[in-house]
Formats: sequence, structure tokens, C-alpha cells
Amino acid sequence: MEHCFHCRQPIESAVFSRDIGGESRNFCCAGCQAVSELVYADGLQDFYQFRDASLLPAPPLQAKDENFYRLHDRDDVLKRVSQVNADGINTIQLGIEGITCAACVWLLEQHLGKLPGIRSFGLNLSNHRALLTWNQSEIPLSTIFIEMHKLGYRPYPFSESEEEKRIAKEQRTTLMRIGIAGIGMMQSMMLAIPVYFGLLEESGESFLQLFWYVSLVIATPVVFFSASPFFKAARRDLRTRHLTMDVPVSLAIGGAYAASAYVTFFGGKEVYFDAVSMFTFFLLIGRFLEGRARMEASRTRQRLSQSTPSLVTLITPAGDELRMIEDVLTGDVLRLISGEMVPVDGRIMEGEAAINEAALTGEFHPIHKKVGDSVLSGSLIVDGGLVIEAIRPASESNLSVLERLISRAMSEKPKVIARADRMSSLFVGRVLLSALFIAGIWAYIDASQAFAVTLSVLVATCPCALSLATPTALTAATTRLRELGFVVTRAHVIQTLAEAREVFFDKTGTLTRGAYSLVHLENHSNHSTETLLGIASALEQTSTHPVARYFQQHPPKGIACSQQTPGAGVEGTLNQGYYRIGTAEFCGILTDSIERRYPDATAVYLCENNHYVAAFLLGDETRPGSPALIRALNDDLKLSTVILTGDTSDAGRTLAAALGTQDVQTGQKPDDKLARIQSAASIHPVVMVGDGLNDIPAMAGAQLSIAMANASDMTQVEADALLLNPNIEVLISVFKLARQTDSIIRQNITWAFGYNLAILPLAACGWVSPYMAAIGMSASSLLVVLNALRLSRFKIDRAHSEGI
Amino acid sequence: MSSLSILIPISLILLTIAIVILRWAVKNGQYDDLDKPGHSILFDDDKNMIPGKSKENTH
Repeated sequence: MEHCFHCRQPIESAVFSRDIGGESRNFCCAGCQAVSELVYADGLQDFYQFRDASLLPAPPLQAKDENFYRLHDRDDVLKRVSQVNADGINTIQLGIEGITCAACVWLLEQHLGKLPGIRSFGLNLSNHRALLTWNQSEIPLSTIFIEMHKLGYRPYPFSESEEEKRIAKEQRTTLMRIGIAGIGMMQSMMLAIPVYFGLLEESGESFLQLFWYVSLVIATPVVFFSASPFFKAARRDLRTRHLTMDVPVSLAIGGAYAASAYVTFFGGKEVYFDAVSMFTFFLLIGRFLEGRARMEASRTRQRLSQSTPSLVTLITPAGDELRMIEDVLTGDVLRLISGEMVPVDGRIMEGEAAINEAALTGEFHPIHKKVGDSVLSGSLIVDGGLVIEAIRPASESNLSVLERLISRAMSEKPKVIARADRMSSLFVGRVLLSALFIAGIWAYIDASQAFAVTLSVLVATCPCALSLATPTALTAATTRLRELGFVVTRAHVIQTLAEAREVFFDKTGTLTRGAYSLVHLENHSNHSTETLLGIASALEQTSTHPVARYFQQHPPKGIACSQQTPGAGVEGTLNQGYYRIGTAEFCGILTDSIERRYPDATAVYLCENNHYVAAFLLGDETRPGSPALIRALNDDLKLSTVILTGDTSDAGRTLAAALGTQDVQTGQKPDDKLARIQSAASIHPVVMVGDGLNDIPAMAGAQLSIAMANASDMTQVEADALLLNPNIEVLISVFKLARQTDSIIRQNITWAFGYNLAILPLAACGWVSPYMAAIGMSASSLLVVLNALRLSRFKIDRAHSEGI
Repeated sequence: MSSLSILIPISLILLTIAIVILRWAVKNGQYDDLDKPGHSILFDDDKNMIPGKSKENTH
């Protein structure tokens, strides 16, 4: 199969083909072709050698994108999203979508570096964020945005949430703590080794004493600065009477330090400063990794709930006026149309509409509302138009929706992590009891050894491998999934994917492309395919009919002077020719036999100077990856698959037969879908993959819901995971990776438990000295982390591995 | 062994310097992006900056 030169997605027919860089290249869409041309025009073709990940296809710039970008040139918007300094230089923080590897960063930085008026542009590859400084009077922000879009990336202004700032600051402090613990560890080891090997014996007590004092100096910042989070957490745990590993950890660190300090000043046999530093160092690394995972999760959530600046139509005595949502005040009167989200809490003054409040209440049935009823911000106007009066300023009403969505995502701790927490809490209790017991016995046998043995027990049995086992595996898997274009937004996703037994698919827009594409072209003229599509595109430029959207993707051949007849077609003049495009009747053609040959397709006819030149048969094309996906799910992964479609025609059955699934339900209304899924979900975990508003109830009923990239915003917010990769075949790898993650988590937990149980009796017998215990526990944790990291090298299926 | 009484203070001074440098690096955001710098060295985008070579990469 051919692959797009730019994004490497498989393509079926080479409609888009260009000579670029001296070779003929094929593209999947006009967008990718345009990006590639721009890259070569800029002399940045090295990009194609540097990149090591596949890209997402680049959607061409559409009017709606352009309007969104232009919005940022308004003074009120600019003031809100950027800062201006005294010299008129603006600074803005951006989030950028579509970045997959370091080459993307290079391309963007190179391309933007060539634009005049840009002072600096730095892009962070880890979090896909950029800091841009530019001069608005030399180059408007919208132009910069459009340049980025032309390269296939989508910028949006962005501000860090309080939570994120806090985590970022915490991470920096943790890094500092790790550094100090690491340096301290190396230094105290250096001082400890001669003592362990008896090298100081001939040089006498005074040197030993000196070594102890120096070690004390080194260990002090490690204990009081680096290890302070453990003490703090342990104090909190004791207050809330919930045992975590912080309690034995603090006991071990604090006890060992205090005892060693006592020995240093008042004399004794042994100090444990080296063990203290090493123990702290390795524990902090675990904590740092966990923090990174949390930061990643918070970023994903934020991307979804990011409030992009949007305008609302305000009715004022002077006429309609566009205003930013944030600037809407109580008493303002707004005009809302079908498909819009209600921006503020308000009361209906005119009109009536069906309103979906699923985001607020979870109730998916649209509610009919009329004059006098109140509407809540965040609800969606399904049908109808309204004039409302704001009863609360936007800042107050908007907040509630976002907060509700975010807090819902936050409140779920992954079930697996919760399970590990519970286990380690139980475990910690046992360890503390047995340590006490062992200390008692040793005090009876040999009081001088009692402290060292108890310390070894505490360090050796530290459940940190146990508590690292799950989060590291989940983090590695989440990162790998993101590289595949699968974004996890809820905590339980990976586990549920591994457990799922049945997968439900929506038809239109999920298994099929959900947009018109050319099934067949009947050409009765000597024009090339490209010319015909160009003519059609020129004629359809101003039309809003769904069919027109297909033609508009193609570069128009000139500018047409055209007129629309609703429900029939468009007529117009173009390059001295007179054209008609539309239904057979509109073009004055007797229905051709081709309509019988392609019963599922929509026929669009084109006449040139009253001669029938071509017929375009447009249909909803099956996604190229769908057959392979269904086959792999059924055969390799032993999952049953079901297609649910609202379509009443035979198209669903034809598709199911072509894809090879046994189960297909046609004519399903949203509640039928929900009922079907709920009955399946009560038996075993099910996954629902969908894209439309009508899938939201079904998705809510399934244990796990996945929204496609082309899904409506609302559906994306509701879904547990997003598939941004248009190649649906990736889902095979997603399922496999989830199962592998599950097995790695099990391996890790088994190992961590096994190791701790095995070392406990040895430590209790006094055969493990504290520094050996620290090495052992570190090695055990390291093993667990390395095992989890195997997931980030997970090989994806060959079928779509080309170019990755 | 008496050399230790000089070496140990020196090691403590070096330790302090290491911590000061680390503190500067962390505050300066040197560790904020751990992915990009590793790749950027691999991009041969300086062909036209090397004197004596033809400017093949310009446009």
C-alpha cells in the first residue's frame, strides 16, 4: 500500500501527487501536500530525514480555523492571552498540537525564525509548549498562528493552571533534593568504604572520628533538606491514621541519623550515614518519576478543558456586537444559535430550543426549553435559536463547568494504584509490627546488635519497589500510547483496556471516514480528474452543503461567479464557461444507470455549457484500517466486536459483511445503543468507540469510551480516551500494549512482594547490614522501574509501523 | 595519611561548588526539557554556516 509522503498514513488512490524535490511524491490529502511544498520552499527538507515518528495528517486551513486565529488580533483578546512590555513586544505562552518528535520542533523553530517581527521562539519538546515573543505591529499574532497551521501544527494560547505551577515548582525542588542526596551519597560512600574494609585500623581512632564528623556534616543537609518530604508525609499519615510507606521510611532515616550522630559525639561502634544518603536518594528518584506522571496527566486534562477565547454575539441598542465570553456581564443579552455551547448561566428571553445538559447532569436526553426558563453554561443547544439574558457574569458561571469536569477526572485514582496503596498500607503495618518484635528479641539476645538489625529490617523491607511497581508502568505505557496518537484522559483507561471483552463501534465517522469521499468518477470529457475537481471546487466555494465540503478540499481552478439553488445545486460562470453542478434534475440529465450501480453513494453531476461532462459518486468511505482492526480484535485478541449504527439503510450490514463481524445493529437510537451496551457491560467490561453527540449516552454506559479525533468537542470531553491518529488500526497496538502493561504490573508486584518477603527473615537474623539492605532495596526498585520502561519500547504492529 | 587532612576539606569545598552549580542549573531551567537538546545536536542544519562549502541548503 502507498503511504503519504508527509504523514505516512496509508493511502488508497494517489489523487494528490506532486513533483517535489525532483521526485514525484504522493499525499493523502491537500493539507499534507501543502505542508510538504512549504517545507521544500523554505529549504527545510532535512525535516524528512530528521524525523523519527509519524505525523498526524495536516488539515488544510479552513475558514473556521482562520476566524479562530484572527480572533487573537483583537485588542481585548490579545490583552488577555499575552503580556506586552514597554517596548511594544508581546510575550505569549502557547500550547501546540501535532508535535510528535524533535524534528517537528526543529521545523517550527526554523520556519518561524525566518518570519520578520518574531523576536524569539522556543519550543519545549517534553510538554509541547512554546514561549513566543513578537512585535504585534510588525507581524500580527494571527499570521504567526496561520504559519504554524500551514506546517500542520495547531497552536493555541495557553496559561498554566495553579495546580500545574505548583507541581512544576515541586518537581524543581525534588530535583534539587535528588542532587543533594546524590552528591551526599557519593561523598559519604567514599568516607564509608575505607571503614568497611578496615583500612583505617592501623591509623587509629582519631581518623575514624574525623571521618564520622565529616560524614555527619554531609548527611545533615541530606536528612534535613532532601528527606524532609518523607518526614512531612509521615507526620500527616500519623495524624490521619493511614499508614503509607513514609512512616517506616522516616523511622529508618530519622532513627539511623539520630543514632549515628549520637555515636559520632559520644562514641560507639558504627555509623550509618552512607545508608541514610543512599536510601534517601533512591526514594526521591521514585518520587520524581511519580511527579512526572502526575504532571503529564494534569497537562492532558488541561488541554481538554482549556478555555480558548471565543466570542459571543451581544445584542446592544447599537446593534449586534461581538464580545469575548469573559467580558459578558450580568444583564447582557446574547444571541445563540443551534450547535453553540451556552456561554453563561442565563434566562431565555426569546425563542425555544432543545438543550442537552449532559456535561452538567449526565442526562443526555435533550430538554425542551422556552421563554422564561433558565439555561446553564456548558449546556449545548441541539436544535433551535435563543436570545438569553445573562444572570451571572461568565467568570462565575463558566468556572463551574470546567471545575466539575476537572474535578471528576481528578477524583479518580486508578483502581490499580488504589489497590497497590491498600496493599502497601497493610504491608507497612505488618513491617512496623515485625520490626518492633524483632527489636525486642534482639534486645534480649544481644542488645548491642538490636539497633543495627532493626534498621536493616526497616530498610530492606521498604515497600518502595511495591509502590513504584504500578505508577512507573502506567507512566511508561501512557507515554508510549501518546506517541501512537492515543491520549488517555482518565485514570482507569489502561486497566480497563486490558480487561475488556467486547468492543462496540459506531459506524459513521468511526469505522468509516464520516465525510464524503469520491467512490467513483464517471468522466465523459477529456478533462483530467484534477481539472474536474478544480472546477467543482471553484463552483462550490461558497456553498455550505456537506457535499460541497468534499469539493472544497481541492484547489479551485479559478474564481467562479456562482448562484445556489437550495436542494438542487450551483450554477455559475468560470473561465468563460457556464457550469451547473448538482442533482441530475438540476443539470437536465436523465438519471444514469450509475446511480443503480452505486446505491449507497450520492451522485453529483457536472455540466459544462449544457453538456454532461462528469458524474461524481460520493460516499462514506470505510477507513483503510477498519478491516484489519476488526480482524485482529476478533482473531488475535479474542474480543467480540459489535457495530451499532443509527443508519436504517443496508449500509451497516454491507459494511459488517465487508469487515467480517457477526454482530451488527442498525437503526439504533441513542437509548437503544445505551440499552444494548448496558446489558453487555453488566456481564463483562466493554469498550465503546464513537465520534458523534448521539454516541455520548452509549459511551457513558460503557466501562471505557474512546472518541475519534474528528469527534465533536463535547464527545471528546466526555470520553475516557481520544484516538488522535486517523489510522484506526492503531487500536490493535493500543489493546496489546494495555495487556502487556497489565502483565508487567503483575510481574512487578510479584517481584516486589517476593523480594521483601525473602529478605525479611535474613535481615531479622542479622545477616544483612544496613548498607547492604539499602543496596538491595535500591536494586529491587531499579529492577521494577527498568521492567516498566520496557513498555516505552513497545513495538507496534507492522501493518502501520511504516515510518515510525 | 596526613594528606587526608588537606584532601577532606578540599572535597568538602568541591562538594559545595557542585551544589551551587546544581542549584543554578535547576533554577535556570536547564532540566525543564530533557528531550530536545539530545536531538538538536543531530540536525545538520549548519551546512551553510561552514566556511568554504557551497550554500546548497539556502533558498
